[in-house]
Amino acid sequence: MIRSCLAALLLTLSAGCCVTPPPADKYFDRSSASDTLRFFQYAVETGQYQFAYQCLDSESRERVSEGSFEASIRWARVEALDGSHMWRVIADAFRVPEVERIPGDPEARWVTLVHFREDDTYEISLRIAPEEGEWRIDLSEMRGLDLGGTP
Amino acid sequence: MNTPSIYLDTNATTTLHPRVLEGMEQLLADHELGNPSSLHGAGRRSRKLIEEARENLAALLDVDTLEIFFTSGGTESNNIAITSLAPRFRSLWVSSVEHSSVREPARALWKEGFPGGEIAVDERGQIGEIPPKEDLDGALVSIQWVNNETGAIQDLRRLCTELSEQGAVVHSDGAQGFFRLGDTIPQLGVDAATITAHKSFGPQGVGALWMRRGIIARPLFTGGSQERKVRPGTENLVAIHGLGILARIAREEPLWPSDSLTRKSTLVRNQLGEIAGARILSPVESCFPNCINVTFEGVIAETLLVRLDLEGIFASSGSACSSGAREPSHVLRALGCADSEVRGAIRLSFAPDTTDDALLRATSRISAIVRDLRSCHVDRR
Repeated sequence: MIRSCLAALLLTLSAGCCVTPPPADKYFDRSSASDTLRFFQYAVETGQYQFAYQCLDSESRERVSEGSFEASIRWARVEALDGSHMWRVIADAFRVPEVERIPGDPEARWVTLVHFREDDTYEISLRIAPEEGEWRIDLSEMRGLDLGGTP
Repeated sequence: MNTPSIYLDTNATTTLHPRVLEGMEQLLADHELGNPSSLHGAGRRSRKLIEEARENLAALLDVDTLEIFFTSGGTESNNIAITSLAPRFRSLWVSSVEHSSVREPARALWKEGFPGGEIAVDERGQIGEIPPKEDLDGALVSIQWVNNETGAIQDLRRLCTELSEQGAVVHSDGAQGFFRLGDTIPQLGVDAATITAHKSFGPQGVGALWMRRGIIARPLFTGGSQERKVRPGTENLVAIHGLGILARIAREEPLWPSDSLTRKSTLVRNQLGEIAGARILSPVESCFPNCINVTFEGVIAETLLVRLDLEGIFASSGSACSSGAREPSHVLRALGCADSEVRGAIRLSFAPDTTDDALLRATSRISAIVRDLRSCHVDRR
């Protein structure tokens, strides 16, 4: 009896115990707009919010604290996608392979995440531009999701 | 003691065959290699090696040496075949599961107004119905022989017969087919074909485009008369030499023995089938047995691949030529897979010498990591 209780307890504990995911900066870098998006998605999916926050440009980080950024990704829901959690919406989205130039903004690029729905698509566009040798996300120009960076 | 790594990405690239490596090393150590276009003795020696490689490849494919053009590999051969050849035809049709090096130049041509479109496949990745005769008459059609993501093999013999009866000329991307399946070009019945070396123990950076005599491609770039101007630029002598050795070996012995591969494939499929929420997307029939595309419900492939890499298990999510697993695979979508399946799909592609032990260890680790990733997501709900 005691043995089976212990086994059940161990099973419960192990089921709730995730292996620490490999750090985002070991596998991904931010050397282009699409690489930054890849880095960001992985960091969000694996709960490495400090790495996701590092993907933001300095103005976005001034506007949003790391704590509120993490809270909005973890807990906010996206009504347009059946009330899914923000982190799930970012993690599950497909990346559009084409990166778009922005007229009048030669350094920056639009990159797009997409969810395919029955009749249409739900797109999240991010402006990503180089800053201090890395490509970073400008939250103020994000379309399709509000991560708290709108001025 | 470190556990040895397990390489399950042979559809991306393979290691060099020992005899290919030996031959290339000998050539690299030769300090009197000349430019194959030079008239002097060193140049003539290099030219001779290139022509020997061409003869070996021609013998393997059962074609004329004059019809073979060496390129830098599959992507370049496909681009020449589509971008250079297609404008000489009335329209261009490609299957919906082509490699991006066929698909993207085709889409660029269609965007410019060139007629044509995609030919759909069924859920096994097989082309069923072909476009009507009025569309195919005078058309160029490109059909991949063995799919790089799923391993599905097209029935090229049947398709070539049907398509040529409708007046079409057929190019096939055979990057995953030649050196793996034994068919020669006359047996397949194609009019142009893409060949690459590094998917079957040859060197990276070399391939060939075979075109039936009479089909003339306009070069993608100019400035040299090499490869009869179809592919200008100094030839990659050492790699071409390696490709020639590979072709000679492939005539002597099968590089991918099908019985042993099929047995290993069954072993892996059975193990993966035990994992809850797993679905194998590669077809059972008409599939090259080294390749198994499998999807796991509730898992994101990119994260699974990172975790596998951490344990020394090297797999991928599909085409090595796209940058990541989160880009929607047009191949899996063409098969009618749901987005959740596309998101969680990885490709395991093993070599004939991958041991049963390694395969069992890999599937066991996949099972454990999938369980762990799911429990992590449950925790965050």
